[in-house]
Parts: sequence; C-alpha cells; structure tokens
Amino acid sequence: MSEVTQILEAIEAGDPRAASELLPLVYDALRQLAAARLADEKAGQSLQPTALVHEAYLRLVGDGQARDWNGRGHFFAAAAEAMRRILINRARDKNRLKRGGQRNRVDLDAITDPATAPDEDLLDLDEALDRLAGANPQAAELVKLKFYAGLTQREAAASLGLAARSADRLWAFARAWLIDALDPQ
Amino acid sequence: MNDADEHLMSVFTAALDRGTAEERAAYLDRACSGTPGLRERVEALLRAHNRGGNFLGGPAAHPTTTTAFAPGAVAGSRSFSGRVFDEELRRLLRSRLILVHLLFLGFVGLFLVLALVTSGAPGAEAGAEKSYWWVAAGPLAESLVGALVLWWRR
Repeated sequence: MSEVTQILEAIEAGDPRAASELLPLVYDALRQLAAARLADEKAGQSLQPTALVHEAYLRLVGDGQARDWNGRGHFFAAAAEAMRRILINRARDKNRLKRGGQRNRVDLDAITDPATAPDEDLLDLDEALDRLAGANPQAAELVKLKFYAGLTQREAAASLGLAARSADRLWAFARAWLIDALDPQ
Repeated sequence: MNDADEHLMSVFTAALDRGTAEERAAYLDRACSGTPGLRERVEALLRAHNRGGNFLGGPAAHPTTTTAFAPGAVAGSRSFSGRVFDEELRRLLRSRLILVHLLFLGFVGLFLVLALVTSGAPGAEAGAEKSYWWVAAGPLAESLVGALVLWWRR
C-alpha cells in the first residue's frame, strides 16, 4: 500500500494530522511531473493540469477503482491546491519582469482552462480566489477542484460531499462572485 | 462563511431560480427589504452571472439562468431545445402539483393491484388477466419513476 493511500485511509479514519501530511507529498509529485512536462515545452508540450493531476493520482494511489469519492476527494483537494500553487508560482516567475505596467482589463473568456489562460489573468484569478475563500470557503474549494484539478461538476460535488443541485448552486455563485471581483460593472 | 455571505448566496441562487424578470424583481423586493446593500450586491452578481460566457469553462450547471437571463448568451452550453427542456423540467419539479400527481397515481395503481389480487380480473377470459395487470402496473411504475426523478433532481 502506498504512503498516500495510507494517509488517505488515516484521514478517513479521522486522524487530524494525516491531512497536513498529504499536501506536501502530492505537491512534490505534481511538481516533478510538471517539471518533466515543462522540460519538453520547447517541443510544443504545454502544462496540462488535469492530465498531471490524474497522472499523479495513478502514480501515488494506484488505479483507485476500489476507493470511494470520500477518499478520492481528499486526494483531489490536495492536488487542486498543489496544482494551483505550481501554476501560480510559474505565472509569477514568467510575469515578474512584465508586472508594473498598465494592466489591461481581464478577459474573462480567456480564463477557461489553466493550461491556456494568460499569466496575468491567472494571478488576478488567484487573488480573487483568495478573497472568495474568505467569504465562502466551500465555493473557493469547488472552483479549485474544477479549474485546477479538472474534476467534472459531478466529481467535484462528490468530492465535497454535496448533492448535485447544491453543487450547481454553489458553482453559479462562485463564478458570478469571481466575475464580479475580476471585472466589476 | 458568516451569516451575511450565506444569506447573499441564498438570495442570489433563489433569484436565479425565478423564471422571469418580473418574478425575480418581486422576489428581490421581498428578500432584500430591510437589508441595506443586499439588493445591489445580488444584482451585481446576477449581471456577472449573465456575462460569464466561458469563464472557468462555462456554467456547467444551472440551465435555468440561460433562459431566464440571456437566451443563448452562454457559449458552449446546451442547445436551445435542451435548455427549454431543462427549464420546463425544473418548473415542473418546483411545483407542488407534481407531488399530488404522483401520490394520486400511486393510489390508483395500488387500488387496481389490490382489486385484482382480491377479486381477480373481470371477465376472467384467457389472456385478459395479463392485460389488467399491465393497466394496474402503469400508474405505479409512473409514480415510482417520478419519485426517482424528484429524488435525483432534489
């Protein structure tokens, strides 16, 4: 049994320390996978967060067929947070020299996928997401699961332990909240 | 999440569920009275929702809003006929009449089944009894399927 699987089982058993051990492990695995992908970037390979997260899942947990969404939910929550940090650090590094000039208006339609979103927009989204987490932590978590870990609405709902309709409402609210924060009118 | 944020989300999502602009305005009149600033905040979120386009990959849910706020405004979402179907289904499920209808069907089905069990099929011709069982099973099956759909879309 892998270390991550043991941690997931400990979390499910109610061990409060286990959750804090999960994120560093997932983060390291994702960072290594991302670094390998980025090394190929000149050859046209781009960072695909959804594929990375699922590859990390297979590498750290296994095929996961027997694991229910309660356990997988903890993994994907950690993976979404790890993927977010990786993408934001990368965007900051690439954008460091460019920041400081006149900021163009956020193009909301450009923020559809973390793999293709402009770095400046990703950084703005990250700041808005932090503010959303302060107002409604569950809404921010849903956005992370869907946007950074690439979960479907149904998977993200299961991961958060929400009924489909509740997740739909939360998603509508989170999107509207972020749009208003990024581009108020 | 504090009470104010929870209330904001509750009013916003309830406003989305209103099928027409008039229903929404009437709802906001009631829900926001006595809470300064709430209506402006909710209306800002509704406007934001309306111009969301493909932001974060699109709405992916809450099909009501595509017809209630801006028909066809959400790129990459369901087709118009799909949204109309979703909207009609949602209206139907919101209505309490659907519960009355399903209960009625359930009672009719049970009554017919009990009548068949206790008295047998009228006429008792060969092959007729099977037809009566099908007639009795229909309302029961419809009420069960309806209950399942209600549970699924709760």
